[in-house]
Amino acid sequence: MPATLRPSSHQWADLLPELLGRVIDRLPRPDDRARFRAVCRPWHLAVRQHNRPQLSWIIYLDGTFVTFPDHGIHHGLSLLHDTTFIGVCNNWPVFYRIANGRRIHLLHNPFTESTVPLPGLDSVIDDTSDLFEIRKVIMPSTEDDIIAVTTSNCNYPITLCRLGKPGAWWPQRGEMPYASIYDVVFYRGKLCGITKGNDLVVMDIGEDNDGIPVVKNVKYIIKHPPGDDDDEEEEEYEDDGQVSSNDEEEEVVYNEASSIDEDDEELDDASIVNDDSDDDKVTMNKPANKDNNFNIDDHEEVLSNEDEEEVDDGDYDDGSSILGDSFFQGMRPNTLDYMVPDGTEQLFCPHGEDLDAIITSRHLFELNGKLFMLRRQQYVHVFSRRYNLKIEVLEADVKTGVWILRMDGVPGAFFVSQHYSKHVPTYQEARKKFIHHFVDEHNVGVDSRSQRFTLWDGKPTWFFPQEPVV
Amino acid sequence: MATREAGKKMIMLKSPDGMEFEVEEAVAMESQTIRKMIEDDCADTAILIPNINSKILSRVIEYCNKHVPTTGATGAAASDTVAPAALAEDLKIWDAEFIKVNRATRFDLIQAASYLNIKGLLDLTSQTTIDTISDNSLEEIRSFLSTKNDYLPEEEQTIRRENQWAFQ
Repeated sequence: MPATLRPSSHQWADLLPELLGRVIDRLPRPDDRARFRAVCRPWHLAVRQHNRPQLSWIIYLDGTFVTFPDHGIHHGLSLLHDTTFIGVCNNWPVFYRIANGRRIHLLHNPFTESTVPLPGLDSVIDDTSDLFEIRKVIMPSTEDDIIAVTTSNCNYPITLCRLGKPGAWWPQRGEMPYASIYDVVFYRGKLCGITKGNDLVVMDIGEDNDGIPVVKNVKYIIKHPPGDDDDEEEEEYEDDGQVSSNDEEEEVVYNEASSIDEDDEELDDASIVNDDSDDDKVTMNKPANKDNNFNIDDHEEVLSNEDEEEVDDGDYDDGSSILGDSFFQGMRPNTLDYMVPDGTEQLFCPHGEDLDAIITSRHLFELNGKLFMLRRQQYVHVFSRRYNLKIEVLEADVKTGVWILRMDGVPGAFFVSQHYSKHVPTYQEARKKFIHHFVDEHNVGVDSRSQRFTLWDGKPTWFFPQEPVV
Repeated sequence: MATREAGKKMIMLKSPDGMEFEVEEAVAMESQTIRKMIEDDCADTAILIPNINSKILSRVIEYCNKHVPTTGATGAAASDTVAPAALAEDLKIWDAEFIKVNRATRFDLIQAASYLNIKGLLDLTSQTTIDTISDNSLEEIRSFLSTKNDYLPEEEQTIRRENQWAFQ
């Protein structure tokens, strides 16, 4: 089309500023705004005047994305075909595909359509079962190309590697504290993890002779926090008669598991913590969960051993399985893996209906050089929508080694999803002490074609597209 | 106009080139600007719409006629016999046809929608512009919207380089 100039009254460059602003406001994609500003000077000025921080999207496998906070549904984001969507690492959606029985992991930039492999991670992951999931893929916000990956498989609960490079570090099988860490963040160049027992650990990262990142040193910032009143609570549960009846069997299960892995001293070390506890409800997948249960709440629910993603005792024939052995056969045929805890706890309600439960999930955040735990309690009924009972923010007090409940609020906003979470310091809403947005509260059910997620992989995830220079 | 039922209040709209359009008050009030004039009693005789020529004003009225709720152009019975979803789908198709105009007309329509504050038409015209920007390269955007590139070559290079990732 020839660019013949129209009379000046038809110059789109001269479009009224408020109309330009209207158009810019409705360009959710940062690449569209970047091109808009390059059209001509008046448009560049308009983009500057109407600039706003790039807020999060929820992305779907077919390229649909839902913008926040308007819940606008858009299409056409370039994602990878023939892959499974895992989650998000900074501005990069993460995928895998299976080739020759192994998983090939890829970071994909939907705007440049460039793809970076993670050969280091590929060399570690040998689990293609349906129960396996990659929990988080994180990168420090600096220029560093270190990638930390957490998984559900305690053969490699945490893996360190470099973007696009071979070689990786991972701990011994079941080694503590790694195998009980359910969430990690980068914090002042170190990797910080939070364990099932709410212990907070800092991992110093160095590199070996080949330049592969390794954990050099681990130390606890918070260990055995005070305010632990769970012992009483658990006794109470038992009095209520609502504790699942197979505690002992599960203990047997655990020992059985240990005997199979008798070479693995770390597992035994992990269980030592709780050995003196006689009301032990340790499940095999949570070897260290008895020193924990830091729980300042005093609600009267029964502590369940099982989270929905931790139903793993079915590998054994002792009848303690909830779902039955057949459920697991074929899913993990030859492995005897322990699931790494995922930071959630399910508590059945003694006074509610049979299936009512309270699920607590926890998430670790770094902001302003401090570490925070966001804790969410949801009431769950099998036939209705779950709703939030309580959401709390706790700050890690490094000096005294305890979690402190923040009653005064925290600036900014927490965007929380299972596979990617981010705190946005600049985001504000009126009259809120602290702001939190859980992805499931914004998952606006786009059309059925977009709901192409399997149970274990690629649940809807917050995604923060990169900010254009304006 | 002769077929209009008695009792419906009519409003006279005048374009600067001297044309007059008699429309139902409800249709005219699709424009928040005109609604305000009517409510403020500034509309005794005829309302002069400055800056919008008769060609564009007639298209705007056509749009408002189609979009006025319930007893609009499709007749009072429409909402009784046609399901709301079907009606919305029908409107969508009509809108898509309506906006198939050359870029000069589209430019005039977006300006008119803005001045008259007609939300639906503003959304429609904005979206068409957005689609142009989303689907095309920088050169195509300039060409389709006939915007003049007033950057110096080195300036344009810089501005592209700042967001290189968006131009790949």
